[in-house]
Amino acid sequence: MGLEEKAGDLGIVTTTLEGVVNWGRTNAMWPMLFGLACCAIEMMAAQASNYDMSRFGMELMRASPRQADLMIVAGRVSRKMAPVLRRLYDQMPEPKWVIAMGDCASCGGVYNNYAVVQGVDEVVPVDVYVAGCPPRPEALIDGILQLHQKVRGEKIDQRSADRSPIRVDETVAGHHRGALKPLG
Amino acid sequence: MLDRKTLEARVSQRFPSVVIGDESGDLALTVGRMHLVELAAWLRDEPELNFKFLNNLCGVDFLGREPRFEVVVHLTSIPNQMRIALHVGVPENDPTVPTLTRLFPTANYQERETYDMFGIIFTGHPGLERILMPEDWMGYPQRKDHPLGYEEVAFTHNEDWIYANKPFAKE
Amino acid sequence: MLKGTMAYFKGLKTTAKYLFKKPVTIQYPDVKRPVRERFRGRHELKRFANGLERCIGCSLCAAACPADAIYVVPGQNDPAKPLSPGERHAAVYEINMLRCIFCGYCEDACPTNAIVLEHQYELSFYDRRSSIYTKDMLLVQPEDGYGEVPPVLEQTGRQLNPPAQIDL
Repeated sequence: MGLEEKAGDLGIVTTTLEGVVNWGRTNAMWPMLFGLACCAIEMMAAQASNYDMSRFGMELMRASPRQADLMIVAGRVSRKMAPVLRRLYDQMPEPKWVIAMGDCASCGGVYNNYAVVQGVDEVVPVDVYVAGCPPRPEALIDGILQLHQKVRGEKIDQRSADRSPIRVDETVAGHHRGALKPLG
Repeated sequence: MLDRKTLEARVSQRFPSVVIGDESGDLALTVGRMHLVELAAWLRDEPELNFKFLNNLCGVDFLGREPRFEVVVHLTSIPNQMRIALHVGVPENDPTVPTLTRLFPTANYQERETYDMFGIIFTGHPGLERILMPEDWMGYPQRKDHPLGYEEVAFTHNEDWIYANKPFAKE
Repeated sequence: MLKGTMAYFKGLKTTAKYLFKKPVTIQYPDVKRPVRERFRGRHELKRFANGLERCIGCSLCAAACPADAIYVVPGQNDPAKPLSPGERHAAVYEINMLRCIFCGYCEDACPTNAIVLEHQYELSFYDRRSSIYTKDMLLVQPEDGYGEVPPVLEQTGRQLNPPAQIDL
């Protein structure tokens, strides 16, 4: 927050600074405990010694939103949980990111009914969606690495200006859709 | 030990209006709303019957039938190793049932859940509020005529329409 | 007092033992742990040995899907240049990966063994739109070989059921 406002337009200085700041942000991105359902088990497995997310500076799962940078929403969010989720998100300090882990958090998954929020992006803006039911720990780590890649490309003074949940990133969308050549 | 024939005889002797049926091997009593508390208290307090444990209390929606709703109470007699089901018909235009909270304190939350899901009002309940759904929820979701809240699954032919109408969160 | 001190060293012994062992951690992005043979990951649409698509556009997978994550529109085959054996092929075949729960019911329902859940699990997206996999992405290229008996059936030694499953 403070940094973006003070930096202003300094040209090459900000470019270098951006690299340093984003490097720092990616290498100490503390996630917040937000295990809601079965995906939380895989999130714990990703933290445990076999996969060990502390290799990416994420060993601290903070129970307090004030000390967290990344919210991993692991599990289906019921309608009654949605205001709690939003409140915890609002309490996290900027800069903050959200990963919707698993099908249910991403879009409701198989629970297409009245009780479950059809994707947490109705409540908070989501940066990375991880598919799987539940995703393997590797799949979650892959999602985190994708987020790191995204953060490295961010401009610090433009952060939070253009954060909308639906944003078709051309490079990444191209990576997923139409990357295989169509059959003639 | 109490056997089923004795129990049936005692129930029909004490409550002649109760219809005795069968529910997967256990006794099922269909009882009017006005007799529910009296019957449950009698089953609980009669020394040989001892139905002191309330397993569950729930609602059923038989859409198109009269009475439309039914409240089902399962009681267990641990000394007799017997179970019994009480079925209470509830009409749609007056969905009220007397509460069992004073006899069985565990009925409190289960009646709240039945109220939450079916809109059946338990008269005399100490705090009849929604328990599972948010407090500002409209309607009763387990009623058969309640909309499902279904969202269309997005594919390339309809994603633009879905995402244009979806209430996405702003920063 | 002495007993308490010894207990302290007993605990440290375990620490020291693991200090010189090889760590169990799998260095994930560089080293990938092989998944089990029956693991269900991303779908692939297979081909016959002669290059024709196995999918005949029957929509049985879409009917079996508990999350309604599959969308199939069948199209008529051109007799001169057929895409699949028989009359029809899948003109549109899409899977919404965020809805799919990887249960494998589509695999079981498929009469031609066209759809197989393969071993790719890295499915993360920056937005919802890229989570919809179209037929171009799901269909394997002819040079990548053709689908055989699904690994699950091969491993259990079970006969294909229904027996109408065709191999050209």
